[in-house]
Amino acid sequence: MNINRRSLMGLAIAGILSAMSMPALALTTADARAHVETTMNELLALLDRDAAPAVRASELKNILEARGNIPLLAKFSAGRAWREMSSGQQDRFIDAFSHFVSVTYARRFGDFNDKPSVTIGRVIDAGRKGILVESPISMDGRETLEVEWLVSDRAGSTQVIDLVVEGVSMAATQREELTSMLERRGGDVNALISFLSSAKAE
Amino acid sequence: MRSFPRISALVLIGATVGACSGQTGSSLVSDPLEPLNREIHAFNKGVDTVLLRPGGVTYDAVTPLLVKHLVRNAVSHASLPGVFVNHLLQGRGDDAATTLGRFAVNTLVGAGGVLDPATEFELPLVDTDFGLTLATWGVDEGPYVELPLLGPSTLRDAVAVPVDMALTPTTYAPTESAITIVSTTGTLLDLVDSRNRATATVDELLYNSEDSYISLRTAYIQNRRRQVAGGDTATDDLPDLFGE
Repeated sequence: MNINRRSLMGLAIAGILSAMSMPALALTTADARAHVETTMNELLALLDRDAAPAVRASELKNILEARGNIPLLAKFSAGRAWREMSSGQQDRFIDAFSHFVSVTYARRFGDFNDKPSVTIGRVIDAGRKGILVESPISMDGRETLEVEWLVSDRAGSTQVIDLVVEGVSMAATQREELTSMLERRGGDVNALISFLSSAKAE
Repeated sequence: MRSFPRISALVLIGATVGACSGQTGSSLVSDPLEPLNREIHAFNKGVDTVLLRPGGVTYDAVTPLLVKHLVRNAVSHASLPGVFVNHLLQGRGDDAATTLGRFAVNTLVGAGGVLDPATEFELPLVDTDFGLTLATWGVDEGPYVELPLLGPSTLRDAVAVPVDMALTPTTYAPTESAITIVSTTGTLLDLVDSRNRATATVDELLYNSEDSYISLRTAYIQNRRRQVAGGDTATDDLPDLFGE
């Protein structure tokens, strides 16, 4: 078999080009899985503690901001309105959004009365969108809750970028709900920001 | 097959189509009937507030766990012939066989279906419906609709409801027969029980959100698409957060 220098060179160039054209996707399924396990353990530790709703919400906020990409989620959820915001509004919107989702999810979290048991299921590569890690949650006397985490490193570090419960994506849901909230306020972004910031942890 | 939802839409909603405008800009689902849907939603929410929710709490308080299980089993059992037919129509021979086995075991050794030994024999409930059959045949979901009393649906799934009723044997019992009375009572009790078991989720959607119509629509559509995808989250349906 005769492999000449030109074809070798061609192969090498093709290899370099294909490596360059791929976004820096160094994230492996093992990385994604480990990131979800860490996040899950932090959430379970928080659930285990008998904290007041406001404390629980603010600690959930810390976990979400450390393990997830809240600015990305906020931008996606704002939809078309994002581009119409000034950069000052965008910053305030991200803060308000972070507070709002923490309060909302801390409240839903409170429904897990018994200690849930969590396992890691399949890890599915969803290409550009990220890596989907299944973590079904089972509780006594209830049907298993199918939970999935979308993990990506496209923003530079490994982050949770979406949470999917029984097929319901947090990102898609927040986007729908925020679009409706903004419309109800006649497109007034400042009114939306102050509403989101004033959400109470009960 | 493609034109089927559109024709049905005209039959189903008739003249109201022209009257609808000013819908919420959803990127998730088509909802041209939003104004009508919202009125039905307000009615459904009222029914939940005054009947279903308190009924669920009461039923839970006065009914022993065993009785709730028996009712749930019986109602589920009555749906199995339809589930079986739908598995066949979807070309899922394995699931059809499991469902047939389940029906036989629970009828014969499960006291006619109020007990569920079949699950122990690895013959679990593999639920499906005619809406999912239509989906496997390539029928698009069509626009979102909220049905009176039945709640959130799509045009495809709404059209499928009478077919699933027709596939349920108890539908054919004479109106005032014992079978009809028992099966209707059982179905209502099971509905109330389901509402109670899902209380946290339903309360969150209906009573803790600013716009319960949007919350319910968003949750239903995504969950239903997951069922259409065979119980997995379809990666195609995942939002591309970086793609904006």
